[in-house]
Amino acid sequence: MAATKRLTRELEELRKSALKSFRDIVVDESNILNWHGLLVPDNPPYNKGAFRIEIAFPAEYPFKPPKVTFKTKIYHPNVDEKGQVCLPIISAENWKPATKTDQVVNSLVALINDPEPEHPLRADLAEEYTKDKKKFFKNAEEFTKKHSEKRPCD
Amino acid sequence: MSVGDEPVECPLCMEPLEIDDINFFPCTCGYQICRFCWHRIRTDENGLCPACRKQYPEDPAEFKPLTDDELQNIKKERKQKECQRKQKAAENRKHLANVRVVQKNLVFVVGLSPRLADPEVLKKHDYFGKFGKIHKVVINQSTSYAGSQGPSASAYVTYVRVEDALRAILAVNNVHVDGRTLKTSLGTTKYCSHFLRGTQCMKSDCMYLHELGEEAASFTKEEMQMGKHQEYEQKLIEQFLNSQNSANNHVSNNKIQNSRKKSGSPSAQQQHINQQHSPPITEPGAPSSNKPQRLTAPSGHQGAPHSGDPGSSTEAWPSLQPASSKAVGNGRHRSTSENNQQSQDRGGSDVDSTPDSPLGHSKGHFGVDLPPTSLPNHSNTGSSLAVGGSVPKPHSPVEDGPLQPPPPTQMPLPLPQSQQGVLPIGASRRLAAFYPGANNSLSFFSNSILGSKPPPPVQSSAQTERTESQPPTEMTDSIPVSSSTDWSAAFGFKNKETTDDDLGFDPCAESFKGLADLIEKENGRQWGPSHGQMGPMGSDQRSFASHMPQPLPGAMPASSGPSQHSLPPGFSLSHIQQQQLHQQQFFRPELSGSRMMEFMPFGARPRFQPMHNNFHHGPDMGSGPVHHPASQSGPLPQGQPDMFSMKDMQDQLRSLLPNINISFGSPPQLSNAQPPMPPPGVPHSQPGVVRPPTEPAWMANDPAIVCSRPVGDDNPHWLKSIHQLTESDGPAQNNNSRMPFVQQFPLGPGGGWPPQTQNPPPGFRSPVRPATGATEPHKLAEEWVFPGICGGESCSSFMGNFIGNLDLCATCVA
Repeated sequence: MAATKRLTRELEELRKSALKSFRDIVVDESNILNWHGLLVPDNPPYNKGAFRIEIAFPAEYPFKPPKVTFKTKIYHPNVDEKGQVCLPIISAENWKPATKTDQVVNSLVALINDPEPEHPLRADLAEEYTKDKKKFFKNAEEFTKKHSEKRPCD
Repeated sequence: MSVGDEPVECPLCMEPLEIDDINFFPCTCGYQICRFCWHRIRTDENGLCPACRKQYPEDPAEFKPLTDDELQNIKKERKQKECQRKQKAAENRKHLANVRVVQKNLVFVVGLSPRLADPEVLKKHDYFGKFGKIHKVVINQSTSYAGSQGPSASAYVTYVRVEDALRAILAVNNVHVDGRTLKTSLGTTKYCSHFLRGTQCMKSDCMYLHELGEEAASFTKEEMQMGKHQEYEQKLIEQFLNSQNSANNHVSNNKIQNSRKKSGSPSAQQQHINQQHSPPITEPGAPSSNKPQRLTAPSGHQGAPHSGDPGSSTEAWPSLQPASSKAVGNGRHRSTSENNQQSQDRGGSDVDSTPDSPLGHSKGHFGVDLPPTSLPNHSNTGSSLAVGGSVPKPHSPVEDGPLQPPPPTQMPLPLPQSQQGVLPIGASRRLAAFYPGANNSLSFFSNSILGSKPPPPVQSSAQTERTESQPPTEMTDSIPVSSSTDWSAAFGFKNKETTDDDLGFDPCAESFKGLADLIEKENGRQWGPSHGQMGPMGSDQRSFASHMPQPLPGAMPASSGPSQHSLPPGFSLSHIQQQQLHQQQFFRPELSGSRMMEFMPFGARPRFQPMHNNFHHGPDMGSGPVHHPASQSGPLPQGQPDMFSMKDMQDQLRSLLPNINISFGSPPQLSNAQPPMPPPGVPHSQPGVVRPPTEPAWMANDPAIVCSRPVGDDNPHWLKSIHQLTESDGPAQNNNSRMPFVQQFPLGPGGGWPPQTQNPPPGFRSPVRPATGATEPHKLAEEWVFPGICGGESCSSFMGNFIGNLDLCATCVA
């Protein structure tokens, strides 16, 4: 299966690169199509915690894009209550088989650090973000403290 | 794209690009993918370039098919590279075919009775299971190593933890079970043939090596013959013991007062020696029946002196029991370590590990002596016999004139029987330490103990026992050696130094030596006279020396040079001691005997490698002090206040003697060829003693010892085994026998060892085969003949006659 070979390689590279913002990559040996990892944003209000995400690759990968979902609740205009993310790079219409997972991850980290209220999944949060940033930050920080994972020490 | 060292991969599927994909660029953006992915994107997906998302044109933007020549060249190159790669891998590992890697968690056991030759039994907690979690047990039912012990199997026990394996080795080595002496050592493993060929091993549970082993743990067969792997094992064990000693010392200190002394005082060392003496007695581990007696007796004795030592409870491993006791445990470790050192000394350098110079000398001597004994089977047997004979009486002389030394001791002895007994004992001890004779020593003890009784009767009992036990002992000596050597050769195993340790008697010898030195100093007498008196002993020694293939140079000098150049120092010392004793009517021998008595219990405890261990730990034992005085009398300073006056010692000995006789009496007889004498009354106890001699024999025979020797030309078994194993090309001479090995190793292809090397690499074979085989078939085909079914010329010619009929020749039809 083409996906297996490529994913194995990508996983190696990703672990070797040791990204600070995306770590603890756990892959079930029996199913390399499903990755779990810890997203560690740098920007407030999300820099108070860490977020578990899942990357699900289709069997047709890389011809079809992977799907990214948040396992940890996050107060973010681009992530809905179910944890689904609107990430342009992995949308079906924009997907390029040449895109690698590290690019996807970096794009995701950038989106979390800097929300894009222009393409919101949660309009209420996007509105709050644009109109009352202070309030949004306060809510988001509280939400992060309440629900997010503990950040790794280093 | 040019073909680099690393094949270019398709960025999508990560598969290496096919030869004709190398110049395939489907998109104008220059993003290269394989045609498989290109086809898939165009048919199943959106048809966009995976990089620039432009619609793929109908035809690839750039594609220059390779010409046939180019194709051929590329294919050729690839094949060559593949070939070279495989060859390299094979060559890099070729030399590993001769390498054995010591596995730190693998215990190799020899001497298992049929009852124990079962993985499930050995895994039980009563046996090897008690030392830790066992990963795997492999039984080798081959009885080739059984030797005189009767049919016995060997086993590889793989522990999960390294420490467990070392503990098992220390505890089980020399243990007597079902009438057999168990020998343990670290096992070695060879490389899997698949690994050597660079191919995948399909055996899921393959216990051979599939990755490069530790350099320090890897030994060629040559090195193993030289005992290098044993040195390595010794190191491991010492490390293990050191780590354990610290912990054990606390316990031992609390329980045993003497143990404290051990730390630095010479007395402590002496104590160790004493312990060693006692252990030999117990070790002799005669047949199972004997065992209990010994154990109980020693335990009882021990009980008094050492409150700390629990009477060894009979367990699956008799020897282990002693170890179980904490005090013993400490003693063991140390003793084992010392033993190891001793063994090492024997192997090559005479350097004494022990701080005490006298002791050290004795050790060195012993070490030297042992190897020689082990080497020549007959010599060993003879020595053992002689020892036994000497001990019991002059009768023994019958077989071995020179060996008879013991008789002389008795003969000349005007001294009280007890004294005589003591003297002989000392001799016997020495002998025992060196040889299977240890049993004899026991018998001596019995005799000496019986002392009051006429020596003959005692001897008779001993003899009877001997007669029974003798054959086995002798057999064991001779056979074990060969077997062990075969073993070592076959498996690359060599008996460990532990085997030397088994000799345990060495410690006794050491103590004796120490005593002898002391006596010498006191008496200021020379060795010469002692020899004269000792006559028989001297002869024995001589015989030994002669037997000894190559006396270690270091050992010789270390040993009392004056007495006998060739003779091991230990013997000379013993002789001297005896002489001195006789002349002076010194009771020191008795003292030694008393020591023996006292130690006996101790010895029983430590059985495993008790001898050595006991010696070292001796001080811990309550009896320690007594021994110390005796041993210390000469050069050694006595750190212990416990020292008793000689008279007191003698008295104690005398009082103890009866007990001793009972406990030890008969065993010594084993090795003796002397005619059986009517046993006065000790016979029962004696049988137990008998075994000890067997152990010594083992020791002597142990391949480890052989290996340790610088060059063992004398051992026929060795050579034979080696020859057989190596299938050396040339006639194997004792001296030269090893050479073939060496040659074989380096030359690989020439030698019989690495069959693989002879085989041409895969790439080369093909040309040869086709040449020979292909031609004939062609002819046949041309003639319309069935490709020679029978393959004979007659067939082809015959076929020629029947061309068209497709008939077969008569032979083919048949």
